[in-house]
Amino acid sequence: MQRRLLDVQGLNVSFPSGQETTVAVKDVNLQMQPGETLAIVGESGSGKSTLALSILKLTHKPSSVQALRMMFDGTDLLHLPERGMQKLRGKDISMVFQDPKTAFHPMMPLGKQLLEALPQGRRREKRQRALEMLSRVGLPDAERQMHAYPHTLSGGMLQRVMIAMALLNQPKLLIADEPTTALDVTVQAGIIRLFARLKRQFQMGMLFISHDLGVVAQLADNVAVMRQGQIVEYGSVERILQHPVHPYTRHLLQMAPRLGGTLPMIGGR
Amino acid sequence: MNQRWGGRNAILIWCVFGLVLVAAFYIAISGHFYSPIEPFVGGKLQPPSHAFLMGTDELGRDVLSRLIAATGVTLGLSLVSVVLAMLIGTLLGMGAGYNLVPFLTPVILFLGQISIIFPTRWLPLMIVALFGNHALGMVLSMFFSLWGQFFWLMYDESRGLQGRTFIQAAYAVGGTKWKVIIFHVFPYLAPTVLVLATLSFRTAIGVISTLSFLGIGLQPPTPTWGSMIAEAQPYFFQAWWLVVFPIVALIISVLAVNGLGNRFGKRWDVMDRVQGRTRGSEGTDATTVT
Ligand SMILES: Nc1ncnc2c1ncn2[C@@H]1O[C@H](COP(=O)(O)OP(=O)(O)OP(=O)(O)O)[C@@H](O)[C@H]1O
Ligand SMILES: [Mg+2]
Repeated sequence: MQRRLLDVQGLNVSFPSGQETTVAVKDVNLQMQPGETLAIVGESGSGKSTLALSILKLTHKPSSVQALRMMFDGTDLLHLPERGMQKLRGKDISMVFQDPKTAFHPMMPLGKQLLEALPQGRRREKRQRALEMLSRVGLPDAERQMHAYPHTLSGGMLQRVMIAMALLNQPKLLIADEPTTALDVTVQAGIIRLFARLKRQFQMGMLFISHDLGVVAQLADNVAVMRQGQIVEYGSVERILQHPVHPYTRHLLQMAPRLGGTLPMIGGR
Repeated sequence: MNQRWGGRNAILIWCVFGLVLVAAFYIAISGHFYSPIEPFVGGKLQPPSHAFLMGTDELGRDVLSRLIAATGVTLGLSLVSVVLAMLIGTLLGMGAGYNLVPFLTPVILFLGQISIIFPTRWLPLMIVALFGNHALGMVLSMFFSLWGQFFWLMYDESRGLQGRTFIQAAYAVGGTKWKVIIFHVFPYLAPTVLVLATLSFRTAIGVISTLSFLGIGLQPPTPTWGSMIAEAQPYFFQAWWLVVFPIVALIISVLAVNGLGNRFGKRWDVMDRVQGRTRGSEGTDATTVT
């Protein structure tokens, strides 16, 4: 049997604040095989981002992350000290954030921020690698954009830069937290196509977070439907789309207008 | 380009700069060197003349030499205090904001509280009473009036930044705490700190001038703008030059520093963050002295 890329069991994340505690993720189990794309779907506030960040152990403090098991590619994340996590972040697991406009340092040229993701090495080589990656994600005029400041680029272009940054070290797992939500509808399709292509080229595992089942249908192998911190339905994309069991999943399906037209496989429901 | 060096404030600043340069050059070549503290280099209360460009005071000392010395003392001590307050306030603010040394954080916060519970006008007086009216006492009293602003600015900002996505993204590519602080947090806050420093300079000049004016600053014969103005008061109607020159120097430098601070603030778009953090501007600046 192949080694699992990600194996999370009994994950709980809570944010204590004063007297009460917000439980953002409740008893979540996830398994991913290498190269698999797992989509997490759910409405706003259902705990998707918190789940993603807890895998990187980057949840906002104060927070408590507890799990029975949290294995990534043979490494026990649960007991890995912060130093070990630092070595993992950006190398084996990297992340694309929801809003590219807030995810870059506003006063630093993009090139400098890109190079930061690369391990120690000769500057020229690092630059070369960054430029190569920028052209692979379809950023026009990459050479010039290396010197540009974030606010001079459009949201779609910035998102491409962030994707390039996440892929620089050829991670085994890419976490994409609603990477198209903050973008114009016209740009969204391009970014989704980019993800579909990169996923094949890099053969990496992808944890793709979205609230749009239409997007998920194009990318995912498996889908986990999240609601109020819990996974209410988990299965292959075909099964979920064709035979949703949980009423909430059906509700989400009805809310995804694009599905009806673009995907012939949803006949039954 | 024009925008950067133009504007009414900037023109004023450059004019002052030019004037000072021309004056320095003139003094250098014309041999107007007098000791700022040596009495009776000329007659008493002589009006400005070719020999004494700004006249002489009641002890026959050269006002120009005294003004130059006072400028050095006032601005020099202010600068030292502002730099000290900036360094220490910034370090402690970030230290507490990031909880770098957990068991020290409550202590630092307590010190920070102290720095702002005293009205700005009392604190310098208390410190001079404690440390004496030497240069050290002056620097400390300005320092303690100022450091709290830097401390709370850095504390609030560094805590606020922890939730920002770009800081989280810096960790997500493998950044260590120190790397993130040095390469992301610090560059982000540097302009704010510099603008606050410029505006604090105004407060510092106000504090040292007020102390000297009240006679509890640096003791005679060392001249400062405040003491020159105070000493000149009895002779106001006989000898206008004793009062006017130090006041002009004081006003011009406060205006220039203020203009510079506002300019940087607007240029870097950090005015909102600095505003409301400059204390003492209502009580201890030039208006109290004049
Ligand atoms: N730092 C925090 N402190 C306290 N509560 C938090 C914090 N971050 C998230 N939460 C809570 O956790 C829950 C899940 O939030 P999360 O951001 O993970 O949702 P999400 O599914 O990503 O939503 P969205 O689609 O809007 O991004 C919410 O109820 C939120 O209020
Ligand atoms: Mg989210």
